[in-house]
Amino acid sequence: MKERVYKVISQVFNVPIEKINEESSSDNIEAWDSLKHMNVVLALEEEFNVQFGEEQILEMLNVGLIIEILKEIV
Amino acid sequence: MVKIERAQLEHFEDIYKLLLSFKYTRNTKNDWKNLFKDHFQSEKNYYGYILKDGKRIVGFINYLFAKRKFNGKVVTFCNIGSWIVLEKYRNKSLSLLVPLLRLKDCIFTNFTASKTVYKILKTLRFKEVDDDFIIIPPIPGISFLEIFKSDTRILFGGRVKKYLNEDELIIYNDHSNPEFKCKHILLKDSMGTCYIIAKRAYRNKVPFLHIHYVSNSKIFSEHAGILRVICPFYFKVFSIIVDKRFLGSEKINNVITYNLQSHRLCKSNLSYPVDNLEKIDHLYSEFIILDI
Repeated sequence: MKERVYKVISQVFNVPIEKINEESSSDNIEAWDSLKHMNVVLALEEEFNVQFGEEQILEMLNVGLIIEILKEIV
Repeated sequence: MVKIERAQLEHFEDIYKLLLSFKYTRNTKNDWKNLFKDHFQSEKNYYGYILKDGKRIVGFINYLFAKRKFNGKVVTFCNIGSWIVLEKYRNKSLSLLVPLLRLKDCIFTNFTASKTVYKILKTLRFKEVDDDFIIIPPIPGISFLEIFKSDTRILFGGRVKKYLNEDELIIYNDHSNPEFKCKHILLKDSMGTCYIIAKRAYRNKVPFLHIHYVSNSKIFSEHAGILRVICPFYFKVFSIIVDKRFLGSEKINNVITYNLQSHRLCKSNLSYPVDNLEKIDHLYSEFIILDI
């Protein structure tokens, strides 16, 4: 799962995959604004064939939290 | 450290500096300040959220609360608007929406969503409402002659009051604050009445009468011929504009249909299904308080 999440993040933010880790967030990825955040959500929903709850969408503050949320619903 | 807190009147002066960066607005400082008053008996004591970096306000979103009757029940509405965040802090913009999603028993609306806001709200499961609108130009047709029928009347301002039912009278009173500059219009014929609330609005510097509420789409459509001639003259506007969804299945001839650049969205988290939400009007929204 982790690799697939990293791949999505890398593609949406156009950042090399080796620079992504669980601490990656809007604080250290410059392109991570509110619109790109929604692109991440939609890309993850497509990749994992899931639908996030509204609160979960807003709780995805870093890659580690994204993985945790995904583990709950996949 | 960046954090959010409830927006209060005491924050207005700092928020106003942010709001000034909205382009193409005709709003005065007093218009903006009106967002910081509980005009519609919501009993909430805040007006949205601010994003603060230390003591500096770097973002704002307006939550305009109102209690109103919808489908026969009194419901809390929250109209979202005036969302502005300094570019450097855009990665924190979404935090301003977190408290919104935690509100219970509420209907949320946004009638002026930019492309970015549209995408965000759609992802948060807001539903689109029809955002086509029609321009009813002042072309006098044969239907204009109805004005000479004894049973067809058009009334303006306070004169409409005596024909309103109890619920309409509440709407009238809620929207009669002179600072809102709402125009109250009533069409009356032998079949019944149609109460209309509108405001003068500028589109590409041209004055229009923008209709925000139509109580009876059938009567409205039947007498559009009267409205299209009388209203431009009475309110000194070029023409009438109205959201297509207010007309339901009714048709009006000789109109121009446009699609809006901004989107209309809504969402309900009430515990029961809500009918007709896709036909929601613009009452109790920023359209009423601001000059949009």
